[in-house]
Amino acid sequence: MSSETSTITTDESITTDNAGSIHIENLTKEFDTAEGYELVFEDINVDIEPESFVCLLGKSGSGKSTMLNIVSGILEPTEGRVRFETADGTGDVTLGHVFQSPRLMPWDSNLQNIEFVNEDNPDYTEELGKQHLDLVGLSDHYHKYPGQLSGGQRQRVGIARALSIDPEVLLMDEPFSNLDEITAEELRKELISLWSELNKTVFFVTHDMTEAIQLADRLLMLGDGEIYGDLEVPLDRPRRIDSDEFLKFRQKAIDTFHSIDED
Amino acid sequence: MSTSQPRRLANALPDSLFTNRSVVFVESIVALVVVWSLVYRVLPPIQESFVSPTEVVIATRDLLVSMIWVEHFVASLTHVAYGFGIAVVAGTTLGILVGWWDFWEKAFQDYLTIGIAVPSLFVAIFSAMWFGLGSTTPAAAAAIVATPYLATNVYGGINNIDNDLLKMSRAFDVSRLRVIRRVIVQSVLPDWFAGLRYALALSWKIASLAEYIAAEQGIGYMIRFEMRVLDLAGVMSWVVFFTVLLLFIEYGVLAQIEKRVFAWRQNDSVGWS
Amino acid sequence: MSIRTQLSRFNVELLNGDVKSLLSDSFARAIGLGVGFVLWSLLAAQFPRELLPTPLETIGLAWGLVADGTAWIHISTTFQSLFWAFLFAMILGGTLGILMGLNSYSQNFFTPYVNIGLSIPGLAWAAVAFLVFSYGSIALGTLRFAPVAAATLTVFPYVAINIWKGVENIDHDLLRMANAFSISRRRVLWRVVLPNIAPQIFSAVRFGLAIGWKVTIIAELFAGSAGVGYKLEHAYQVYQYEEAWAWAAVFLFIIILIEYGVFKPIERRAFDWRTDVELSDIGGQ
Repeated sequence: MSSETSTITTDESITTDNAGSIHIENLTKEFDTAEGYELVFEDINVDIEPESFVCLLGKSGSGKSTMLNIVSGILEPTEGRVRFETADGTGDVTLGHVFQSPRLMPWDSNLQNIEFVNEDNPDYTEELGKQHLDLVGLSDHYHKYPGQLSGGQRQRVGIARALSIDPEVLLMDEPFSNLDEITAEELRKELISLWSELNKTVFFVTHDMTEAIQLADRLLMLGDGEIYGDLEVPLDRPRRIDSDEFLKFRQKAIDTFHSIDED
Repeated sequence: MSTSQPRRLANALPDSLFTNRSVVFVESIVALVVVWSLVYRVLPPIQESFVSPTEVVIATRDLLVSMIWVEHFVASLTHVAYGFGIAVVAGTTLGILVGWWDFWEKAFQDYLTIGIAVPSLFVAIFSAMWFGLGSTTPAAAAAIVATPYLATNVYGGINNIDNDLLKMSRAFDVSRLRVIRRVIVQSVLPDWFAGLRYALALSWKIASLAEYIAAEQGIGYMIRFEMRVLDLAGVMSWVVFFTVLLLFIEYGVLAQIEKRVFAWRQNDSVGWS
Repeated sequence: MSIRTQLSRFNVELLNGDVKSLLSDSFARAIGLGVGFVLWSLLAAQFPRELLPTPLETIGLAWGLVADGTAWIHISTTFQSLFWAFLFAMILGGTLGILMGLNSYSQNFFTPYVNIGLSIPGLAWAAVAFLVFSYGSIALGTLRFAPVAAATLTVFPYVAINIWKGVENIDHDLLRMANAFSISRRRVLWRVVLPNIAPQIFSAVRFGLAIGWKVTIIAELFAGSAGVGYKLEHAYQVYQYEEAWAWAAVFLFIIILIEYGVFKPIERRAFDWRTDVELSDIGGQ
């Protein structure tokens, strides 16, 4: 298999600098289950700046996917709301989704999968689709089918698809947790490359603390129904997970995590 | 260090005898014919009422040459065309109703279960009672028997739609029409097609059964004709004709269409063709 | 929250949950069956009794057969033939299926037999068997050669396919795990292999029986003296249509009993943890 790292060069037709901001206001979510009412989180208030890379870190069951689903608009909050603002001030934001499993249609080619979500996009052309596949290093795979691709390649198509609709905000739900570590590492590097080129706002959910510190400008730690940690990640990119500063910051994050036990 | 005799013998034979699919296919057919001939020769009591492969081949050849088959083939074809056609419309509609809406699922489920459980002879005879001798009987019988099978396949296909794809479509705000066309229909298509194949084979069999009971033309009718004169070779010649025809339609035509239309499936699972 | 509020919340939830859906499910089902019943009665009123008896008349006719014992004689004849055919088909089909699942030579060798077997209608086997076995007269006690041979040959391909798929899909990881723990062969067979292929065995049995009884009945067209298929066709031949309805009703009643009483409960309970629905394996004749 040929190396899948790519040098990112953006075409003029791929727009940049239209990132949006996310405003989570008084967000509360309760689930009505057979055993009674289950409080997932309560009164969450977070403002996410445009072009920032924010990781929501939480263990399984902490509600991080639920929060992402509410931000996505798939789920309704019990109280509160999520507001977006765009660079042009209209608040009419396009959200790009990348899922944990790629969710590609096996009967469509990669290009067709991208075209599928570009229904409302008058600027969409096959050329644009191909450019986005180029972006993720799949230039030789325009007409291949998901069944012919590896897990990592499929996830790249998922990312290309999300980027193709030119979103102001990119929502990513543990996109690399189903992949092997080596592929995940490659994709993380490429994601940061893409992000720095395209300047989108990224809201990235994960349970992996190392991954979160690797990727994010800002680390939101979710647990016990609240955001108990909100840390700026001051490390320079490219980040090395074995460097002193990385390990120091990691310790800081772990300490923050342990601090919630002392309530 | 002791290599057993059979092993050495097997090593002497070319590999392709065991690995090449076409070769093995030929071996299979040859084995069948050989065993058949042996049985014919070796069991005297049966020989009275049994036939050898050669006799069947001759009878079949005579059948083809005489062109009798044309009239009855066309008749059966017509019966199947009508029966299968109705079954496709009724079965697909029913399958969609039952698969998509809970109410219809609960309301019709028992009919599907019973429909599949009813012995086809019952359907054939009751069709004969209602429609008498002639072409309607086989067509009706085929339609009635095949419909619940096709409906069940479509039902299953709809149940197996990948929910994740629907969620993805909703996340990207894809329009309803597009989701129906590009996700739902595409997802159900393979199961529908498999159902079609099965329903077609079934329609042929049921039509023949009904022709046997109450028709004046058709392959089933000819089988009864030969039965009446106790001509085993004659009966078998018609069975051979029928079987080869069905095999051709199933594996020669439909399987090829399936392979082409559903090329994307080739990549993951191995299916039973 | 007061106890009263808590209780009322509880009631609402109860109604919102299982009971409500249970009610609407049964409701829909009742409507489905009810409408069918009404349509049947309406149609039956239009036609003479022998062409389409009303539901009540059908029950009456069926009861007539049961009461005088004829039902029992012929149904047991049919089921006895079915028993033998099922047995032989499971042995033949099962052996083929296992071989086909184990090595590719067997698979390539036996596939033509299965394909051809699937294409030959039960009627054809029945006709041939009748002529071969001395016009249906050869029998060993309850084992009537002609119908049993016909049903066996029609059914075995379906059994073979199901067992083949089961053997093919045995989870090799589990086998390797058992090997790593040095589990005895017998235990592996019983606790790993069998549960793994249990769904396919169930499928094979289910379709073996379902197709089996259909073909046995067809084969009885030629049986000459006994069995439900024989009685039904005979009734048709002599224009005793009401008797035909009676036989159909009695036999269908038994089939429905078996379907709902035996197959559905087993399906539900044993395979709760499984999600595969092999609908393309549904067989019919």
